[in-house]
Amino acid sequence: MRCLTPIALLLSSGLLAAQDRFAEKAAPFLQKYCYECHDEKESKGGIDVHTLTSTLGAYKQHQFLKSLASQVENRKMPPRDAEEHPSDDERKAVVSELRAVLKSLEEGNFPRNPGRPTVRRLNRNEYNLTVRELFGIDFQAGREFPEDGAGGEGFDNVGDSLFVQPSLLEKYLAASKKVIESVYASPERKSRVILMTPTEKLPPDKAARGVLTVQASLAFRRKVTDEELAPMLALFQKQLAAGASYEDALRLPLQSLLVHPSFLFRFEADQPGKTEWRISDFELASRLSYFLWASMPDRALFKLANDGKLSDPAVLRSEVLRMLADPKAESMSRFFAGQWLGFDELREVAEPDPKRYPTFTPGLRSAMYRESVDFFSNLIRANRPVLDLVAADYTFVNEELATHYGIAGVSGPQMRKVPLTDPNRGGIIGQASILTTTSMPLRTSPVKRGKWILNNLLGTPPPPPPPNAGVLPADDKSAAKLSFREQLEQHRKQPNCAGCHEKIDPLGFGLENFDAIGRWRSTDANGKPVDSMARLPGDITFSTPSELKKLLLESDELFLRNIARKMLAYALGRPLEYYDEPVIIDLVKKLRQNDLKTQSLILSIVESHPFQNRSAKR
Amino acid sequence: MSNLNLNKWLLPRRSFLRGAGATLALPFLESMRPLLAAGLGGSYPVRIGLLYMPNGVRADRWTPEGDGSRFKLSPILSPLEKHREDLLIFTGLQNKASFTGDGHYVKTAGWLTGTTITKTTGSDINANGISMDQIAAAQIGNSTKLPSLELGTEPITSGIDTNVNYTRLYGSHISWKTSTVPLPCEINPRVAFDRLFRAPSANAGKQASADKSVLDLVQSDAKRLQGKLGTADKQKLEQYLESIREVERRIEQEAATLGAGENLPAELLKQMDALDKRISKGMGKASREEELNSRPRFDHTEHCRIMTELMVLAFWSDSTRVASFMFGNDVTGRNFSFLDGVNGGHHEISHHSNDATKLAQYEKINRWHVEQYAGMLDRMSEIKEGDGTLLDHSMIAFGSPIRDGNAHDPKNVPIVVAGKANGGLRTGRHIVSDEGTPLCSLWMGLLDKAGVKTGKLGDATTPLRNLG
Repeated sequence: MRCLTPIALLLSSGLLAAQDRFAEKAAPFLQKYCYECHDEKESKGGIDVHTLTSTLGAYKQHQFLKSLASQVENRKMPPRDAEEHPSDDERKAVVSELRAVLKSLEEGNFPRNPGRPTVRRLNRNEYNLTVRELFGIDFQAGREFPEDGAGGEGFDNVGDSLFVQPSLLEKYLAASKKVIESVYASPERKSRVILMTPTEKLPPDKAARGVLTVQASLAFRRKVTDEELAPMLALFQKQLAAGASYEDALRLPLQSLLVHPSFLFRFEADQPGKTEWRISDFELASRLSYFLWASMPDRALFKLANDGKLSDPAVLRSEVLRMLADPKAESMSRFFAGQWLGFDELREVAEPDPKRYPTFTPGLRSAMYRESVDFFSNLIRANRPVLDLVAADYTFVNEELATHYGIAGVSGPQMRKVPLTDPNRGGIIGQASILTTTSMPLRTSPVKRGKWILNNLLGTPPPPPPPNAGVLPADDKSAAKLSFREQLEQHRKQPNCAGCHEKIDPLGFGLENFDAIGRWRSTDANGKPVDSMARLPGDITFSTPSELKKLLLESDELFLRNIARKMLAYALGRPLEYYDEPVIIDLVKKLRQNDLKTQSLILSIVESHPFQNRSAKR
Repeated sequence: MSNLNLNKWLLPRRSFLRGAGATLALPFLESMRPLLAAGLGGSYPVRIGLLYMPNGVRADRWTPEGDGSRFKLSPILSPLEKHREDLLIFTGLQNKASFTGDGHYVKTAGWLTGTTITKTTGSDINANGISMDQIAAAQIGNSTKLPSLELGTEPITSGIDTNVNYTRLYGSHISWKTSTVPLPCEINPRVAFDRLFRAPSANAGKQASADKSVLDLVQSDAKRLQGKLGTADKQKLEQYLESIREVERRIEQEAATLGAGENLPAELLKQMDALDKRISKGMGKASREEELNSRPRFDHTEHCRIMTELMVLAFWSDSTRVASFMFGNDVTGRNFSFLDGVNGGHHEISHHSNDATKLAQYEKINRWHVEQYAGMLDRMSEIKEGDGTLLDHSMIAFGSPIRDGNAHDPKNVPIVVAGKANGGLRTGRHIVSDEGTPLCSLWMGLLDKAGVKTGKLGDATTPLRNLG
């Protein structure tokens, strides 16, 4: 084990003291009143309290400390039928301990850690875009690759959830051949790649070294080493000796770059002996480019990295702004926003019933997707406040989507920005992409929509339903006497369900005027008037999307924390840990200072400690 | 001295194949019997197929009446009537390690491993065991083109299930090569077809040696990198190296096959050609290139039939002996309204709340799956191998890791096996085991019949008795 530096010792002893406090003041309470149902074995409601034995343990479970505190405070827990009940003083004491821990977490009163992302394999999209950048190839060589699964906060750029199975490696090999063939098939592309040819003064091996030095450095996103060059040059020589022409002899070495671990993986070097360190300028260039472009750094970034200037704060800032102005920044919308908000699922997963919804054509599907992408891209490009996502008086449509929404005067297939006069439509909540992906094939789902608002938009997912929860009919068109909403209300009357559904469903009810593919409607599938009256706990009522949005705008902290959390996670490509919480708090603070401008959030993330540093321990 | 090139003159040269040219591992055809029999002790290799159905079954319509050889097929299983004598239906099996966690991911990802997967949104994905198909692939997959084949119909489900805090990728994988490497299903039939049966290029030999030099180069660099990495990164690179080795093995395998001559039975060539055309028709694209590059989104029934037919031809041509197929990912919301009387998505309907209309729809969806399975068995029983059929030399399991989807019930899981495994299985029976018998003991039994050695699997230490 590594020796601890005096500072680390000091910090960890501080932590130990805090640990003692929680262990002393809060843990006994939890053990006495909560373990019976919420221990390792039982963990009722998915909650297990038995790990809350120390401050560190509490930090790690911070997501539910808040609700734990309010459950105890409001006497919802322990439940009425529990054997033993705490006294009022006991309750008060433990609630204040729980909140103190949360406060110290948000303030960052503990040894900070920038984190340690697991080495990231390029995901499918990153591979395609990187190859395009590297060789100017416009076909998507990686289309045959399997979809990548998600990790951490739900993004497909997390190293831990990216694998290299034999079938994928086989596809990498095949794709590398295709790419190189296509490079060689076009004289223009070929001359872009084979930058030097032998002359009288320049022997073939020197020329090849020049070509491979440049191309390998680009492919590896850092300077290639002599050690790495040697086998490539040897392969070149071997081909040359076997009678291949200069250019042909370069084929295999170039192809090998696309199967090389330093191309397929984004390695970040360790610095032995240190607990944490600033990442190198080349590593910073890659973190930046994969965050903002989902692709490799361009030549300008490489040049700055090579000159050691990229980490200069002023340079870094202007580079970020330059990159955001580039069309490549659309990747943020497609991959970050698409996965965060879930409209990515519209491309493949959403399956409205074709008989019930004949106007849901492939063209409409793609226009819905484009609307959300263009909307988010506009937030970035025009540096709009992030709250435009909740409510906006504009959107992006083409003729087909405009007809779908009932907006007049739009013709032609191209997407364009239009002003909205209907306050119900604007913002992501009124976009057909979201309204469709949160519906069932044959009906809307107020539960799914409510859950989407809580989970995707606000970052406060409801707990899982009990195993025998039961569900509603798949189709809302029915001969049953009860309306669909009435059935849902009935379902909610069961005490098991009410606790959560009284928070989830009303949010969805407020959106019932949007049908399962996002059209406005005033009558439901059975021809009855839509009942969109919603009552949230605390007697908050609303009945239209526009009123719901007003409520969301009034208390925006949850939304802001959530967008900061999600974007930070996407930028870092790793699951977030408790030590990231103060970073998120800080991001929100800065966002507010900058009038909620989207670019300011992106800049703050790039300037944050975890984005620019790496630690020896996770 | 025996002449290894004997088959070159024993068999007619392969005729020109339209559309799909093909290089295959040596197929087991009549005229080759004497030659192959020497190597294989006179028997055909046992093939293992595993068909996964998501979201459980309607429990009261699944279990056959009666046991032993006197049983009556249940309504859901009735499409298998024709294959009654090829079947082993099991009642009473369970995977104890899947009782915890959540209602789906733990069950599905651990179906073939018999373990409890690690609960995670992504940082430490681990099945904590190797799936039984991969245990088989490691032991009996080395002489075929592919050690194993994984097929499916839906792309890996993205995102985290925040209800239960598992990454959804767990629900998209049943095959685990190691406890930390899940194998993705190929869902594009064109890609799968080409991978199995692709035409060798004119200069196949040269290509193989080019591939090899590329792989050698990156392999040595990867090994050098290994020393500089921390544990988690090292593990990722180890996966990469392992995959390189396996692709190299495949290239060698193909080169050897080419060297031995390309002899394919005419009937197999005909079937391959037919499948080739059927894929193009099903996918409905303008060109082969488009087929390769597109996400398959076509008639679900035809998609499933094509995928199972791929498995059949892969077995027949001995391109692989181990294969799995996922009809859908777990929790799939696939719209089954294409079935008469069904209105809605699969997962949704599986949560029937004992409502009669929903139960009826659930049963129809289950039955549809069994029909596809029956269709595959039809095909396998038509294909002659020696005195028997391909089905006689196989064991094709079909099932789901949960029973009643409404309750996510992991007890008494629905599972059927078809095929006699070269006489290893005594079929035509409904085997009722004591409640709580490990599903893994069935897996161990199947592995045993395929000649795969394993001392323990999940909660089982001995194979299920009374199979043979």
